Amino acid sequence: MTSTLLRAQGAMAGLAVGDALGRPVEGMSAEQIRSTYGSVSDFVNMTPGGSDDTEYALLTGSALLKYGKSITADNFADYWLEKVCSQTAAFAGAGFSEMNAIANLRKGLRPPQSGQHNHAWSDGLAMRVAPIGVLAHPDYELTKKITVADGMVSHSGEGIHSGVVIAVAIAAAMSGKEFNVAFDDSLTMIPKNSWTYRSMVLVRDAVNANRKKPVHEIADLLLNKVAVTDYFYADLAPEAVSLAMASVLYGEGDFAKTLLFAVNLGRDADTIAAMAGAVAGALAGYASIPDNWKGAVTSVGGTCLQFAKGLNPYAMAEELLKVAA
Amino acid sequence: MKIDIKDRITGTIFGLSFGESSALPSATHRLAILAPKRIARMKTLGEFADNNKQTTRPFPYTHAQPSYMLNPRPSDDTEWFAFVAGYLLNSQESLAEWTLLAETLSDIRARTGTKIALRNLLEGKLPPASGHDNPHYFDDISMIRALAVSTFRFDNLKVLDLRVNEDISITHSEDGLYCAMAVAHLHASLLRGETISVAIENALNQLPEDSWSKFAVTSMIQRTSSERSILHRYALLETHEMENIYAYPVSAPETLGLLCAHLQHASSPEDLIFAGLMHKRKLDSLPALMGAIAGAIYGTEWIPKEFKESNIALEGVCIPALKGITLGSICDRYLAGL
Repeated sequence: MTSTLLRAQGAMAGLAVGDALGRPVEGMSAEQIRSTYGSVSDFVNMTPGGSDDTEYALLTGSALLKYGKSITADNFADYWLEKVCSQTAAFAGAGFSEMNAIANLRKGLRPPQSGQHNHAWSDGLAMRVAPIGVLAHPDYELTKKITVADGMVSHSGEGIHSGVVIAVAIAAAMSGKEFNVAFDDSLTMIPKNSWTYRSMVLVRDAVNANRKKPVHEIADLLLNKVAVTDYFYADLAPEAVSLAMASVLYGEGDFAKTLLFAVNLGRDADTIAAMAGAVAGALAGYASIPDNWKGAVTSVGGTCLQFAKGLNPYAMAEELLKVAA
Repeated sequence: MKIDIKDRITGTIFGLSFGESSALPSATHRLAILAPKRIARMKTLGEFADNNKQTTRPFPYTHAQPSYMLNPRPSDDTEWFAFVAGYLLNSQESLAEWTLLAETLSDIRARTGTKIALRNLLEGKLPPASGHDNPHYFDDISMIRALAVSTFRFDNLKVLDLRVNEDISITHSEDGLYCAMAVAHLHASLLRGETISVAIENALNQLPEDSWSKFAVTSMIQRTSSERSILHRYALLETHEMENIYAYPVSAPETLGLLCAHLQHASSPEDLIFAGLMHKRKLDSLPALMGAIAGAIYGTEWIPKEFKESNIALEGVCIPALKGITLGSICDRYLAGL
């Protein structure tokens, strides 16, 4: 029986591991990854490290540590103003959604207006909600409420629905649910007529019907169903979140199997793998993450968010549980 | 001077085309009708300039091809207007026509959001999902297409709402749809001869409270509510309201905000056209919108004769099947329906 603490540590470290594994192949297609690496099975660069995904998750986590379970959208906005908007250096590797939100907050806009812009559907919320699932489990309603509050700062519509999916999946995994139950439970918390819901159903059916096929065929099938290749960028939340959750289904609770499937999908690979890693880490627990992977992500670089430099995702897990209690 | 409805409708169509023709994107889009080498050369010359730190950059040019190809002439805005006008005036069904168009997807040149929606249709997704499952659900081309409906149904608001909703939900949703509805009501109001302030009020009433559009448009109107100078409005809007973060400046709320901010003070067609041409990130649709609105208010008298010849023809830049259709023929069909 995996303890709650190990699950929490698994979620936070799993996120950072996924981010670091996926970062070198972000923006590549699955086919390009195959022709370059065959398949990615470990860190492919000399100095593995995370990026904006882990740092924004630490931002959400730090806000939770400060405000606790009753945190509101205004609290999150104030926290962004204090920790993010005050940064004068460039936000290396940031997404459009975060930059739009920062600009809106600096103009004096508050949620929900700060989250209404041309990239409100991005996977930027979903990539940072792992701490919410850790803190608010096993309460799905509370998980959703906090995710919506956080999301309104920088996102709206599909960006928020997709964030709810990841947060609830983590809350489910934290509560000891199986991988497929976590998938289905996350779906119950978002509108059925949403793009996110439609994409989730497409990938669930595709994974379940094709498990016996070679892994690259399953990957191509999924990409064909939900990837929007007519658009230049790959940070669409309905696409990235459904691919991350498809990886969770494919991995059946096994951390490495889940993560390597996610990483080899390419496109927004670091974010897909960060989200899949957070869910799989909560399912499998910290002990199941290979040592050389978790050892590489004990301190973040602050490459995008300077405030996060030196923070340790793993260590934050225990603090979140203390606040939860 | 009393302007009759025929002149307002003719002004809408030729004003739209004039506004579009006057802005740079029309020339950029029209490169597609030149030999493929012209587009390739633009890239090569652009790289040459970048690599050598030269500020002389290529501008759409014809070289040995006929110069009319890059004369100030319409392209995507007028063609998408004409596409909707075509099926509406033929009493054809919206979704059926769009589905037929989707079958020719590889030949169609369109905004990213329109292409994605056409692919959605082709893969069996129906509206509203076809327009909703789209990163550019807010693309401002929706407001241009809405004008094709309001030019036809300006006096029947129930049918106007129905037809705008039918057409726009195929490719857009939420703010893309709200702004289209707002422009349809704005334009219909002006065609009926109502004042600018009533028309703007009617437009704002179409935007849901708490929506991105309502907030953005209201903010831009208020920001410039006491500013009579186009230049000062331009400066205020560019400094405080416009974003330059995203690669594709196509958001309808921003475009509609600019339109209303300038329109509230407009006392001549020139006020609108010049204002539209100043906002460089919004040149793809704002000048066309400004031209159409100027035509609805002031008729055709202001349009230079070179731009109101009835035989000005579409080139099929976006929709090859439209090649050869003249503005005059589109106009005649609207007028015949009165």
